[in-house]
Amino acid sequence: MLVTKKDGTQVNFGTITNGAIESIETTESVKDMGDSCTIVIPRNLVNLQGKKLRDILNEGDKAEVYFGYGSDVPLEFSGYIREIGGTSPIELKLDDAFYPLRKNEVSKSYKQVTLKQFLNDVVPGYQIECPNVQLGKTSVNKETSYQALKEINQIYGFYSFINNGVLHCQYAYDVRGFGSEHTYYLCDEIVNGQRIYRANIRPGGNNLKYERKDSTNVRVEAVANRADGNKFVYSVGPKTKDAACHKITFPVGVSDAQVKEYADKLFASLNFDGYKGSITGYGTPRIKAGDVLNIIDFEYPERNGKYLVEKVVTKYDENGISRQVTISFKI
Amino acid sequence: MKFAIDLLTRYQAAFGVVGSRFHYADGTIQASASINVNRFSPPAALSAQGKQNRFASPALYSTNNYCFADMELVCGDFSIALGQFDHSIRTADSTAFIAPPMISLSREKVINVSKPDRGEGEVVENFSKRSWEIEIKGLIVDMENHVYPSTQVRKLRQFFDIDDVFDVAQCPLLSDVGIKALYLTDFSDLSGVEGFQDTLSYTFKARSFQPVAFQLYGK
Repeated sequence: MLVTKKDGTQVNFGTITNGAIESIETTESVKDMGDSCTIVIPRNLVNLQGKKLRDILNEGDKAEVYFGYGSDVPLEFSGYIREIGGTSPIELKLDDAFYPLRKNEVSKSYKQVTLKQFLNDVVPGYQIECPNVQLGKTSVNKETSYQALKEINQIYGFYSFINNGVLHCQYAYDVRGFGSEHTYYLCDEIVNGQRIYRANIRPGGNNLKYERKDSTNVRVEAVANRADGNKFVYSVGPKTKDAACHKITFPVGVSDAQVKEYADKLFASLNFDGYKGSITGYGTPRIKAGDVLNIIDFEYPERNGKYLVEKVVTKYDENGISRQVTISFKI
Repeated sequence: MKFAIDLLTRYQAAFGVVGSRFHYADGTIQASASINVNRFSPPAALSAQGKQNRFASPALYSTNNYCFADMELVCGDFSIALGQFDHSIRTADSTAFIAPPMISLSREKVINVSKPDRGEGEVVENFSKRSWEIEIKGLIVDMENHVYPSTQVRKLRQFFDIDDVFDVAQCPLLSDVGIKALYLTDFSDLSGVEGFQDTLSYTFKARSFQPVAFQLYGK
């Protein structure tokens, strides 16, 4: 773990094999804004000059967290120290690139504004990637940029994330789009009676359920606001009362066709023959939220398929490295 | 009244097999805490004298390292020296822990072995190493009056009562394995030694404590 302080000095925790770190947990998700990381440091740390760790680290310091197997120790998380808690063990809570956006304050009010203009004003200093839509009457009063982005998410369903200094704000199912593909094998492969060791799921880590289209009972209701005050309503799926209903609202400027396309896409993502749930593997493959997970079962090949990775919780501790991967729709 | 005592018989009475070469020259205890087993010389190295007696014991330690396990532990104002380095047996009083302690060390790796779900392979993940487990055994002898060693027993009680980390101020063996500090976990034995009214044996258990260092790089 490497912490860079504001004055440019760096605190390096060195190799983890000396037990300087008790556990690390990182959480990243396509849907929840802002990834986070918690690091537990077990003992009373002293550095070479005899200073205590708490006298050296400050909230807001940049931190990079590396862990892995053997000599393959990649960057797993980078962000800022949000909180230094606990005495012994010391618990460091880190936030991702959203950290500075939780500390500022913005106030803006518009009768009509495009999403891009809104983001430029509310989240200044970032390059912005977003769809070209009108938001209509919008106001932000003494809020942090992060809260403003959260509201945009709650009202209009736009999810934000920061990647390489670019703020992306898009519909959930436009995918976070890092796009690496990884494979989980649910069992070993047997070829001509010979076993090939392929299974790479932690013992008891398979919490996937295979569901059929007919058994899912979901409905999507889309409502789009129009400039004249009317609303365009579109619904897909069974209209029974017990169906789980996903409601989405669109701002002014989205055409009927776009609303239908999005609602159909969302419905298809909820209603399919395939796996649902989560699955826990080892430190490798290095699966990140937004990646594609290829699930292969040699005993039920008809169930093989590729899924969007919605959320990944990675834990590093005495029990090894585990990645709990929650999958979303089939790709 | 001070007089030379035979520590070897006390060690044997307290712990059974110990100390092949306890002797004292010029009033200084010289001891090698070797264990009285596996002492056959390899045939090629046999001397003329050894050939006559094939079971002659080789010298396991030179007299230069007889005090490798002697240790001095410090915590704040408190300090205790177990084994007295070059302490003269003739000048030792009833407060001195003259007998060299016997240390045994053990340490394990934290390795997690798991079998993947529905697979027959095995995944081995090596996390780190646990702390050293340290066992310190020794004798306390009243070297001055040769009665029950009350002063030393009280000192040992005080030693165990401290709920803190002891810095290893001096101990060749612990320093070689990289133990710079330790804390006590057990005072597992304090008992009389049959036949010696001035002697008790003690056993402590401890774990190494390593303050984890981190680097601070300048701008």
